[in-house]
Amino acid sequence: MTSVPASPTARPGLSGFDLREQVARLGVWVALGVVLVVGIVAVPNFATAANADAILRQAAVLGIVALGQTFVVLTGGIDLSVGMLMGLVTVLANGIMGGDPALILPIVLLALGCGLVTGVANGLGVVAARVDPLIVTLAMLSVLQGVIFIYTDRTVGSAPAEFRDLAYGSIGPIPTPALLLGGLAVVCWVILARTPFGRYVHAVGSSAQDARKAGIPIDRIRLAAYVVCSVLAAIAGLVLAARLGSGFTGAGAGFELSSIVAVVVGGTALSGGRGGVAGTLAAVLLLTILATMLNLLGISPFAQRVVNGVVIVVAVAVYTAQRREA
Amino acid sequence: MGPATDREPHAPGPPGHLDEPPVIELRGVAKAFGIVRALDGVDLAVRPGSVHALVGENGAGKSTCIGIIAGVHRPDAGTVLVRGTPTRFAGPAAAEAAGISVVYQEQSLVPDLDVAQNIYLHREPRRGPFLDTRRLYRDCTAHLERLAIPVAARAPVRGLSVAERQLVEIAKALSRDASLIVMDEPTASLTSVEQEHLFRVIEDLRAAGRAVLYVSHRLDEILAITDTATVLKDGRLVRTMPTAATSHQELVTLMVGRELVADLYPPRPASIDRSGPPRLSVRDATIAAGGQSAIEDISLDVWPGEIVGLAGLIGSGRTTLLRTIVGVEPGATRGVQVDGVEVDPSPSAAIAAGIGFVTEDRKLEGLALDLTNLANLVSTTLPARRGVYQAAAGRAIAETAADRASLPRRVLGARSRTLSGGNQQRVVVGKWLAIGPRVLLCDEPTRGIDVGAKADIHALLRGLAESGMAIVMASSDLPEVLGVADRVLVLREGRLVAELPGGVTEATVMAAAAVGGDTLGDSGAAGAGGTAGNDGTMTAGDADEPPMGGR
Repeated sequence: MTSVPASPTARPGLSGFDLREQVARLGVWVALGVVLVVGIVAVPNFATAANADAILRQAAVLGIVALGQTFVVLTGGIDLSVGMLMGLVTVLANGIMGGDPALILPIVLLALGCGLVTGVANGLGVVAARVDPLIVTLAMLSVLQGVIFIYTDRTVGSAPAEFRDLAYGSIGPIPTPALLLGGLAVVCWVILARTPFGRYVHAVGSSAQDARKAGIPIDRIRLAAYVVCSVLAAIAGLVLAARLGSGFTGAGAGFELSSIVAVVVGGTALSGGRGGVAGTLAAVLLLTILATMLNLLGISPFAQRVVNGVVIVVAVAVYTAQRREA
Repeated sequence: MGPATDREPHAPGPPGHLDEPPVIELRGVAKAFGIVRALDGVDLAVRPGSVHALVGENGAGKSTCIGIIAGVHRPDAGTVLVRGTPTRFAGPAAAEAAGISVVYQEQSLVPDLDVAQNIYLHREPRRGPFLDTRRLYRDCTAHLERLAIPVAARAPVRGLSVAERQLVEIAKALSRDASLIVMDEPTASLTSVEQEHLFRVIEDLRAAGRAVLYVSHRLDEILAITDTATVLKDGRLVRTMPTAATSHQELVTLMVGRELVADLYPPRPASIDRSGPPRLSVRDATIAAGGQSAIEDISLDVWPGEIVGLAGLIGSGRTTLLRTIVGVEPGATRGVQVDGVEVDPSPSAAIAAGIGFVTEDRKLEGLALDLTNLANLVSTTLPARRGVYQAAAGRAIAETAADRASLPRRVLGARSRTLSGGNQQRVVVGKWLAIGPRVLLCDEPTRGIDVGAKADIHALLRGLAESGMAIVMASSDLPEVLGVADRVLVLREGRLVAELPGGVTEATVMAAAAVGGDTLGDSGAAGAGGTAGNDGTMTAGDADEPPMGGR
């Protein structure tokens, strides 16, 4: 027995190709293609430059917050506080600026600061206090809501025109918010796919215990994911503030769920470990286009909420079934 | 697995380089978890160039010892010295930095990453702030080729079998330039060819002046490849001695603290009843791509009172065959009959027909670890009246099953997680005894359990067979298959390639499993115990020597 083990490794796909895996990864792109085709063929006024412009602008807010949510979900966590953080940023930004362009820079810094503090607090709650992220971030949602209503109980302030460019301007033919989303998405993709930190985010979500055995500082990775998530939510809040033009107290409501829907539909496992921002981005476009179509077809925008609720359960069920079979 | 049959026994002599300080030394180390004293004043010194065995029954403190060396646990008392310098590891990373690398028994691979990403996890090759993926895969492929491990660098770990993961685990530990490699039951899920291969790797490490701390229940391996042995019992050091100066019998005595039956595999009176139809009959089981591997046209018959062993390399389809019989492999075609009655392909139909399935991984598939042992034991039957669980009936079932599986009744109320591996396995067997099985399928029934518990499980299986049950046992532990089974079926690449009587030599089985002659599936299909092919002459070397464990 001098030969090395010639044991056959069961799988024919030695390259690691896995059909189901590819379906989970690419399914959202297929769905996006189908919806686009249906829209172009069947929905009046869909295939217009104006509509494309509107879709991209609308996608930016959800897209940016969903990018952040992707980090947290990849670590196996969840962040329910992002929507309320966006609301807080909207109210504070427009309330404080009151139309004064000189305050734009301070407001941006303030928003980023809010994101940082929220993220650190969420992260510490999860890694230091060892409380379930669902509870930590639900509590944070309540705290942020309280802060909003302590500051004001009505719609306040206004955004200066220069600031509104963040939502309504264009650079060349591309809407500014879409460019911002694209830039952030590229940065997030590079971080997740091409840096050690990104690799560790996946590892922690896949198996925290094994990641720890490999020497990965799992608590620091989790904490960082919550910070990234909250900072991106704060940036999304700034774009939302520019879009709304005033400090509406209910501005961020619903983004916690729709950002999670985008992440899950995009193929990231709620249990963590696999997925990424490319799928999230496709899902954001998909959801935004669906919303636009509902709008063009004269269906109530609140139908989107109904759809969101159904879609998340269906999407999770589909992915879970795939994983069970795989 | 048995001893390294074809290797030259290296001169064990004095361990390693005595003039150099030990790579790691524990002095009077103690560690308690709650009220349980896991370690109590243990001394251990592993020298460069030494392969040092750490043996003891489950619960003897081996895992805690490893945990302390690996920086996972911190000792309550005593000193850890690294190359003579007292050290306190802040965590696993610190131990790793000190040149200590661990192959854990419970595997530590991250399922969603691929093989290369796992092997170099937290030590990724970088280019500036970024990962250098090209170098990662190039290095990993070269490393795997050097170790001749047949796994692709890009294969996702989630899709690998237990044995493949084990090989990756070993590759991971060896990819670090570690001066001490700790191996915790590294051969638990490897077949003999892979074990031989691992032993050669260990020999190379020893020759290169590395230290290996080798933890195993398989005393034959210990005697074959280690030069020093340390025996622990109940958290205390029993003795450290040169392996050459000890024997299988002495090790067992030191571990168990009592004289164990000298012969691990006593002959068993044949109780096979061939008067009626076979108790279990499988026809043409085929599955193109099962969860683990494909199988093709496998047929077998097992008579009442018979134990049939399934042998074969990794990926040969042993587990897939058992899963197919039970009906949990979607897409499989097969005909299964119990006592001549067709069984539908679903686990509930299998249970109704009296087929019990002791699964390979008791922690993952066999037990609900956080439930009580009682709950696990009744999980297959759940006595209920009008939808309400009958606690008294459940307790009675659990007690009967516990008695038959020689599990002490006092642990019934405890969570299964708290049991030793051997007792956990008794619970898994017991929960299937609760259904009053006519057929019992066992996949690696003694994997990772200590020598005393292993003998108990074997005795249990033999007793069940004598009571008329038909038993199919798949195992990577070839002496076990040969010692326990009345008849051995050898699978290779999803096909039944040989059918051999229980008493054949390991070499015969391995020749069929690895090299293989012509496919004998057709002739062996319905055979009632006749030998098929292969007389063992294909294998060179002194392979006919029986394993030191005896049979």
